[in-house]
Amino acid sequence: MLSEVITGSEGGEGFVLIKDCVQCGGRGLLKSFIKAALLRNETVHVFEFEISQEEMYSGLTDGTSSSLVFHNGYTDPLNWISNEKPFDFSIQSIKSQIDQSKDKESEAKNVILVLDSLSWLLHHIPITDVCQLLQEPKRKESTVKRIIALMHSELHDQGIVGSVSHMANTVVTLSPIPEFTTVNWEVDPYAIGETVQRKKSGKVNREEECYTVQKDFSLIIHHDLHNRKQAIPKPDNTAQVDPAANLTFNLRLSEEERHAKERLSLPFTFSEKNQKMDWESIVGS
Amino acid sequence: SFSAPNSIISLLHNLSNCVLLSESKTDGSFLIHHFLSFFLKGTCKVCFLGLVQSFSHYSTVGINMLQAREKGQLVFFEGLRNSLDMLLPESDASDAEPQPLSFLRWPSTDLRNLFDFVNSSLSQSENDMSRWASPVLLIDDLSVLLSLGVNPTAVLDFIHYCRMAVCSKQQGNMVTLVHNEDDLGDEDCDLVLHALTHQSSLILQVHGLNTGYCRDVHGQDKFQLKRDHTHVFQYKVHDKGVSFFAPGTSSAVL
Repeated sequence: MLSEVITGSEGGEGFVLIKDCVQCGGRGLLKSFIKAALLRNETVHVFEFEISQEEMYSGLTDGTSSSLVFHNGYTDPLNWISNEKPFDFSIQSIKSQIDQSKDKESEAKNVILVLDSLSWLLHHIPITDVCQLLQEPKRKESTVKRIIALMHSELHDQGIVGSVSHMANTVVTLSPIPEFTTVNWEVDPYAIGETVQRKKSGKVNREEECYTVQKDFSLIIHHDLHNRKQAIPKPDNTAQVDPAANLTFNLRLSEEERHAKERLSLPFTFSEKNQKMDWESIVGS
Repeated sequence: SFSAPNSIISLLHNLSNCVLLSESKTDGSFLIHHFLSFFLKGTCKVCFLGLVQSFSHYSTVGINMLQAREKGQLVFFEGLRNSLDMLLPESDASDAEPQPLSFLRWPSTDLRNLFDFVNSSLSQSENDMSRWASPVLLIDDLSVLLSLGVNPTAVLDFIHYCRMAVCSKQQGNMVTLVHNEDDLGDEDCDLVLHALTHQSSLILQVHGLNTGYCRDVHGQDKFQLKRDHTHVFQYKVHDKGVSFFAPGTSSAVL
């Protein structure tokens, strides 16, 4: 399912959210999306806030492709460096920059908008503005066909993560590979991606896949995830120990012992023999 | 002592890296000393933001900070002394120049002035470029900025600009020490730690031993080369440095 989402064959419209975690970063997967879009000759606008242009281009493109439009929000987004051009990351500015790529002939939606990362935007502009931007693919007048955004789950309140996830047509949540007993992979798996896709009909598809992003940003899906997951045999350290063994006292009484116990008259109880408390036998003479 | 951590650390000379040191239930500043010594010996130009200790504290037998400062190799920012100057200014003339710790007097501002200080300290002039290898920024420690009331987003913006200027623009290295107290539920600390974990190529996590204090093994250090390999070593701090060894192989045990 993840491969279909990347190639866009499963309804390429809408908002795709990649949620990563500290154990497995999602940038490789994001670049996989970008690479696939470039191979289809689609117009991709990358708004980059976390890594340099060189790092983003590395392995992806030599920079000559006109389909990739890079917006540099990394070098000086807050206008701290005097001789650099200031970068306006307000929603209006982002929209106007995308509109410059409008397909004037067909008026069709043709722009794929990549946000790296959505977390950075959420920390710098109000969430209401961000949500407006995320609605772009739904707006008829907009040139944006699809938004692909990377979000670092641990950097936000769960409420915000939930709200943004709710707005997405497809959410890919990354988690680390659990321990396996067999380590017989041809290619080391990178992470588990859980893809949840909400279709227009209301149907929700969900699939969990183990994947690796190659050096050329193509994707490998490791199909036999569940087959390889063998139950780790529990070492039987806890041998069945009989707690009643080796006691310094008896847990049970034999017949004779029981009779003897019943016959014993306790000094501080009343009985036919003792009409009153036998203090002397208790205290001793 | 085990040489493997040093070979990991020596990778730093060839690549530009953002290194995160996180200390948990122990004092990780020995790693700061280790890196400071390593980079000074490697003839790197070093900007050291010493926010928690005095200049003389960092100068030890292995590190001649005075000499490094005099020959222009080391720029040391003494946070303690500077903060006092900010809070008790002797004259108003100092207001004219932007102060690195201006946030102490005007709490809602960002750390732009501190970044300007770092940037100007490490901008290599023609003269510098022939004398020194790549620039290095060392921060001891970042958590103190949060303690002083700086907004975590402002701290992350500061780190963003430092990483851009030092690692991306100048192919240098950046080493930042933070506290990791995940059991305290401090959201600001966790936010900064998680964000830095995403951005760093080498992560060293220093923990006190679960079993408590031990004379011969001071703690455990986990080296993580950005997800590729995780190595765990135990360490012991000496007067002159630190020795690393594989878990269970302390010389006291073997």
